[in-house]
Amino acid sequence: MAGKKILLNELGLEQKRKGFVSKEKLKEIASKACVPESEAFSAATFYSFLSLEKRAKHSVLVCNCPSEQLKGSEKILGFLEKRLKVKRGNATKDKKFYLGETSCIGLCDKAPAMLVDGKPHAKVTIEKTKEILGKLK
Amino acid sequence: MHLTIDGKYIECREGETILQAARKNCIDIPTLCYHPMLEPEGRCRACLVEANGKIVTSCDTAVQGGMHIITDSEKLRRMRRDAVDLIASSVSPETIKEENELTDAMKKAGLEKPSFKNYKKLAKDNSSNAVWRNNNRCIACGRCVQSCSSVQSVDAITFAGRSNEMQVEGVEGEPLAKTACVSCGQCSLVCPTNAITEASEVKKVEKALKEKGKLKVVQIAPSVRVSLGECLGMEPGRIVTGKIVAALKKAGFDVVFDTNFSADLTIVEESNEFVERVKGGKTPLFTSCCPAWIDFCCQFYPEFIPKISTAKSPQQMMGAMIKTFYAGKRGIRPGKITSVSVMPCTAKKKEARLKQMRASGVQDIDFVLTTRELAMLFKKKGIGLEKMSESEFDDPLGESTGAGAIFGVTGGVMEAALRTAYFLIEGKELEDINLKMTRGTKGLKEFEIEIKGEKFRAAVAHGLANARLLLERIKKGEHFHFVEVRACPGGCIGGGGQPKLTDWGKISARAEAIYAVDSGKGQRKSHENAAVKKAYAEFLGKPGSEKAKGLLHRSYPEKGKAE
Repeated sequence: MAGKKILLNELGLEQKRKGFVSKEKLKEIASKACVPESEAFSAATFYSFLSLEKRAKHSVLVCNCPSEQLKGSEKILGFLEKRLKVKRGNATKDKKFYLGETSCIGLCDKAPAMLVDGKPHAKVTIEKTKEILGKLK
Repeated sequence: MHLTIDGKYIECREGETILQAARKNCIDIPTLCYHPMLEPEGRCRACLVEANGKIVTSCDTAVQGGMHIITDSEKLRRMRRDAVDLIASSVSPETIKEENELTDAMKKAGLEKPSFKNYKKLAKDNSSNAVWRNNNRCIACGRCVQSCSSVQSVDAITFAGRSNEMQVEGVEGEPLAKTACVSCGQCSLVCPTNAITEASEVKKVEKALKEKGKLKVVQIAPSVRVSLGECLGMEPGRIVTGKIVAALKKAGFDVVFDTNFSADLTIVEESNEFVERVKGGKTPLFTSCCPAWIDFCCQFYPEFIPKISTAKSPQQMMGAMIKTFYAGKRGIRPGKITSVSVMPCTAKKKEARLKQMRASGVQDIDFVLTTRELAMLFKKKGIGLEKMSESEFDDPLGESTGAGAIFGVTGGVMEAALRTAYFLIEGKELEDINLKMTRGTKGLKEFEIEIKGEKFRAAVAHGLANARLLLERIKKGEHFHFVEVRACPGGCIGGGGQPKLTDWGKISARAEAIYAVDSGKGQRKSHENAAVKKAYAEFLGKPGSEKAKGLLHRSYPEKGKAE
């Protein structure tokens, strides 16, 4: 199991450092963790906070768990799509924002929640979202 | 240990799963992603049962003493039906119109059509010339991924993404041809919905059969004659050699040759090479008949490439002989021959297209059909194999010995080669030519054989994960003189182009049939094959001659897959 721990740790660190995990780096991490490259690739595509290509300067991921949806995560996503002029799963033309969905981030009790550049925000409203976006440069 | 299933008191063993215990006692639990030859993963949830009041997947839950298991209730039926329903709603409409394991599961669950629409059209991956993938049919059962990883240790395909967007992809999202894929086709052998198949050449062959002014020649591999029947409603292990020959003639082929002949030819060349290498102290010698193994070695263990025999595979030796030796006899140009081979294998499709497989100046083998494809061709043409009378292979490339026959099974190439090598080194024949230590389904077989006072160490591996273990040992300094590797478990009888496998029982039945072909032959040593001797006398000269080297041997890339 040690190998798998190393794998996720390293993938997360690289994502933080570069904003994405390159093919070369993926190979390197796989061999460091003693797992086949296929497993590293699988893991990198499984977690929405990891990406294999440079997405955008900022990443905005809205949680789409059922509990979040009950509390209006769709509304937030819809607002963000309009405001940033981009469909979920894509980056804005100026490559400033990436808007996506993420599976559970452990904040179901404080839904709706989102991850902005890796930082969790709970009980978000449209007002609060505007505020968060305003602080990003 | 005891437990109850549906109120029935049942004995079971520790380590068994609930599903195994139930099936042993003839209690049926429906399954979908479960495959008896692979590790259960509990993905599809079609096999749900109630164990001590808890709902669990029966395929991967171990039995416990005193367990009370319920396999049938209204609640369970509903849950299983919902699971199958969701899976069925995620595949293309054509997938649920035909007979496959998914539609079987739907029938069992009492589901006519899916209740939801969750199907999105996806791109197909036909980049490889051996194996095609169509994710529109994929139910994400995980069998192919496990085959590629645990059975073959190749890891060319894997799951990407998550939830309802999860799908099987080449590593790094690359098309299959650009991954480490060795074309073995084991993934296609276990796929329940034909999402992975061989790169189909049935239509091309149908078209070629209609072409006027060409001589249509076909060869069939040793293992096809003991497995084709299964695709056409016969019992596993039925030997249908003569019927296939007759059926191929009926399908429009002019000449039917036997790959067992060129297997004998391969043995004569390869044993000769073995004797040379022993003299020159250049052992181990690795066998070269399996193209998937060669791709594996060239990619993962390039340091061993010089150890692989340079002898071509029987398919390619036959291909070269047809378009040179036989074309000469008939007085026609090689381009006037359409050469088709029927193989248990998907990797042979790629092998036939390698740039260096043009000993005759044109591509030696034009088309390769798998066993499954030949069955499809016969069905399309309305040829009933069962009703065919028996015909003989054509001369001069149709005669074979028992040694050629056993090429179809793991250990067979080793056994056949040792029968001849023993004669070449010792100067006399083996007392008992049934070399039992090469036989059986054990993943790695090792033994010693004494020839002329010298002890030779030999190893036989099948399944590339087993080959990897062996190669790691050799890397650490262990020495073997002769090593046979086959990519597919069981050898060619378990090949990626064979009728779909459900258990090892079928492989054993096919193996028994192969050994029956061997023991039923008058001649059982390749060097005794009169047609082979004649081919050397008339055309090739002697084993290892310049001409033989040019036509029957090949080279390998320094690193990476051959192209």
